[in-house]
Amino acid sequence: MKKRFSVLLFLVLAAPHPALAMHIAEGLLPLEVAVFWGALTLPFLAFGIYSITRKKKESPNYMPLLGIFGAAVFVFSCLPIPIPGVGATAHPAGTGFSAIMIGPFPTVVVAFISLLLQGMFLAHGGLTTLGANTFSMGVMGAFAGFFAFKFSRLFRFNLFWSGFMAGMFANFFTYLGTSFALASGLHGTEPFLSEVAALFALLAPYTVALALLEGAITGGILVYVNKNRPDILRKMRILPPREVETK
Amino acid sequence: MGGVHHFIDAQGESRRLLVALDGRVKLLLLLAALIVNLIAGGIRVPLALAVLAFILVLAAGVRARVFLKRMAVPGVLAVVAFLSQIFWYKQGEVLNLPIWQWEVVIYSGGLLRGLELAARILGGMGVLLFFSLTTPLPELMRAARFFHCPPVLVELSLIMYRYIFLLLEEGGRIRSAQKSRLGFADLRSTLRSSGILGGMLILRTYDRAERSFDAMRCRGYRGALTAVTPGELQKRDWGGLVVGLLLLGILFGLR
Repeated sequence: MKKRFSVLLFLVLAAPHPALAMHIAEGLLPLEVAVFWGALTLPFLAFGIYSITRKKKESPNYMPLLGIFGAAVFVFSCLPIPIPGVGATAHPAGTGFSAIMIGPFPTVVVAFISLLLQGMFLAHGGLTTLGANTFSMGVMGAFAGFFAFKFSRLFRFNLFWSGFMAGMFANFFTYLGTSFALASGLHGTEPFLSEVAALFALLAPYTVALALLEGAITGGILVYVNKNRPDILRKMRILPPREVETK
Repeated sequence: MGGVHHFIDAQGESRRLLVALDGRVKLLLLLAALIVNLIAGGIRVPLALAVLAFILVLAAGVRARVFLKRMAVPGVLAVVAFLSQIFWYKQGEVLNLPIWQWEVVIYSGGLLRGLELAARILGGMGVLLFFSLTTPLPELMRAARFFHCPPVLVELSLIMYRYIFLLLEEGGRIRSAQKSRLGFADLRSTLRSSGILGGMLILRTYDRAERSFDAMRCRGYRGALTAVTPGELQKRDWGGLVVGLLLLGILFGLR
């Protein structure tokens, strides 16, 4: 039986650059598709801005904390992680961790700004594709990570495994979102959902490996912070005081 | 990454005409160029935009190597997008080549659409790069504020931008220290080192945020960043806007 050469070729071409698949480049999405993704992201972004404004009024030191924390997540997402067996490096999304620390709606805003800065100043992503990129990273990644952490805590997973689940699901859903957004621009004459499946299958070898790695790193960070500065987790209301490690 | 920071600010400080144009004018022209790039269709206009961006970047005093280096990633994506369309846009079969158990089928519609998509990526990224290489972020943010962008977004962007480069340097230093102590040697140690690196960044970030807030309060921060508001547009800004829009209009007409 003849197989589809196209998928194979696309896979071979994309193999050395898994990280590039994370951000959709400027020009890749037609205008109407770009507007659609922008409109889908807008309510999340608007609520994120509203929530930050409200918290800023309550606590004036919230803005510097959020800004510097957003910068740290940006830096974290720039860390190259070698993918075993592939010989390439990929970058964590960082949104799962961010959603645990600052909440999902502020994470949408932080992701939006990170993507804007990356698009405009590092040539990763773009301006008309900002809506699609924010939806996959900021919305899907943040909410998947946030709920994975909350459910894990509900089922009494320890801190490492709760962080692991958050990092893993955030990464996995980010790539799922990217597959949908990419397919909306690339599907050509093929049915949309079959192209989503093809793209997700293309990204799957990296997605699974990277999701596991990001999960392990997110869990590791939380454990490290809990061991060395438990007061941060308490102040940011990530853990109840009784569960915070005492030095 | 520290070099990028220095580079962008250094470009912003030089007073060549293209760099000195008002941020609002450049933002308007950027949006107009990106829309033209998306709606023009075909490959002529996007490629012309890419070439124009390259020429303007050179005119602004940026080295060609810098521009081309940054276009490398979009270039790879353009090739991938082109190849995807060859096989996914099935209109007008031009080649059917059996290779072992595979079948290579190339479509003329796919070729055209692939070229169009690749050109659009190059055009769009070229325009974006021109903007980024000639506009410092504070200027962009002043322009964004003028166009009624929410102040929270502007303030957060400026704080993030300020600290990204500092933390990148800090992360780089921690990483080097870890490497010199046999961190990142294999997968297991990479995971452990990455976890510790991320954790250390969070600890330092938190402390830095508290110190930064104290410093900001000492300098009069009362919950909103104050910045120089953009003044009236000068003649050269109006001229730049008119010439830019005319040029885009001509390009759009030639599609």
